[in-house]
Amino acid sequence: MASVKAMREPTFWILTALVKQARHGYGIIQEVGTLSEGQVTLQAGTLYAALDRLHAEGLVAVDRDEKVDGRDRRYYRLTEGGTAALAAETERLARISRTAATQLAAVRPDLGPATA
Amino acid sequence: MSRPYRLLVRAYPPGRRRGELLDTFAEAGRARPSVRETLNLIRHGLRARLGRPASRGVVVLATLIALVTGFVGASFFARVGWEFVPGFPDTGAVSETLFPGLNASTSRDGDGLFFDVTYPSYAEVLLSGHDEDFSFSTLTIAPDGGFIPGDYPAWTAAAQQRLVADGWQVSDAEVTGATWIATGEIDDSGRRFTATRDGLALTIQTETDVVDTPAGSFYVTAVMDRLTPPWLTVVSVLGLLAGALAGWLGTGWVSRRTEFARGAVRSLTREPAVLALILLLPQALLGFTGLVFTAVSSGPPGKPFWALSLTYGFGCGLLGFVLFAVSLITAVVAGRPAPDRALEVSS
Repeated sequence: MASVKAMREPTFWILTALVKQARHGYGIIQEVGTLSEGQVTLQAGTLYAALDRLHAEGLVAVDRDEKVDGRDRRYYRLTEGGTAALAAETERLARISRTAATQLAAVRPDLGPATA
Repeated sequence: MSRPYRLLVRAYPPGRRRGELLDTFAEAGRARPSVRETLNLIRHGLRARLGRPASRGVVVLATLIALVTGFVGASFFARVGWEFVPGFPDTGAVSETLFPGLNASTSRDGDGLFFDVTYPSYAEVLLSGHDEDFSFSTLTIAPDGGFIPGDYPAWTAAAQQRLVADGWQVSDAEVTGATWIATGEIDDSGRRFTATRDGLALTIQTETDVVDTPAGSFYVTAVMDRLTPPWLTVVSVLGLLAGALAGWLGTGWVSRRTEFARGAVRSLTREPAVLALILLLPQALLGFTGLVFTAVSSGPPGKPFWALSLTYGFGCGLLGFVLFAVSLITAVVAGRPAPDRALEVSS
């Protein structure tokens, strides 16, 4: 099996937040907070560093620029490469979750994989 | 937007990103940055200054260059700081304490702050560095003729008592002399101890194995050094930080300016910088070791912590900075400001 490089958690959530629509910085922070049920709070510095890196890697692209109350606002969207990378990471996480659940089922049946 | 945020976003390079950040904070209703937020913005802003967001190599390169420029900054600040350290005092009182009842004279090995046997001009230092014996200048106090009749251990103990009575902090005397190779024992032929007071250090040495020492006499000298004041270490660290920041920002400027340049331009900025680091980094690391040693040592500094770079390491250092200049000039002449990323991908 080809090894897939693990994605950092902020990166994973940023890509996830962009799946349905293009978003600007604060929109991404809000969406990540909602999707993670408050578990992840992105700092602005972390967000834009990740966006720069993802842009350089071709996983996100600039969608459009807007001016709101005289302020610069930029929207980012997922590229095809970004969608593929997120799908691969989602599959990787699901696979290792299934493996862990299978192991746990041996000692804690209530934590085992769902069978329905 | 609040002033603290406007200041913080200046950690980022000029461009749209600053506006984007301010928009994010304004929309979030933030008025004042938290400590965590401040550190996060400074950290990622300084990283953004380097450009090439997917590259780790540029971070390593900038860190190493910052170490070198930090050393240069620390050396420069320390060198300037030494100009404000009080000079040697009149040695009459010390001579009287050390050699009561004897005529003693004081000689100085350098006219200024430093001793260099060739007495080079500033221009000569810039072209060829210093002689290998480059060090801080010292005063030597000795009785006329150099010899004192009597027993050197007894004289040493008495001299220590006189110095303590005069307010000096005196170390234990150590036995000095030739070492017997067969046994490793020292052939006791002298004593040495140090005394410190008011930012000065005295190193007193008695010897009986000096050529033409009269029977029943011993040779004695007292060398006076200036100690490194604690505030000078603080100034050196400030210089280190200023130099490191300048090196980081300079590396970032060159990196961003050549980020989208053709291969030859990128090579002409990167390769000379790497070669320069090979030449300069060892000197910087040894210099930092000297800086730390000077800060924790209670004894005289002897040589300034940047001495290696002006003596044995001078040629390598000069070549290193010429190579840095090649990188910089290439970026100035052939580099271009990085384009706005917004215009690159929008399909």
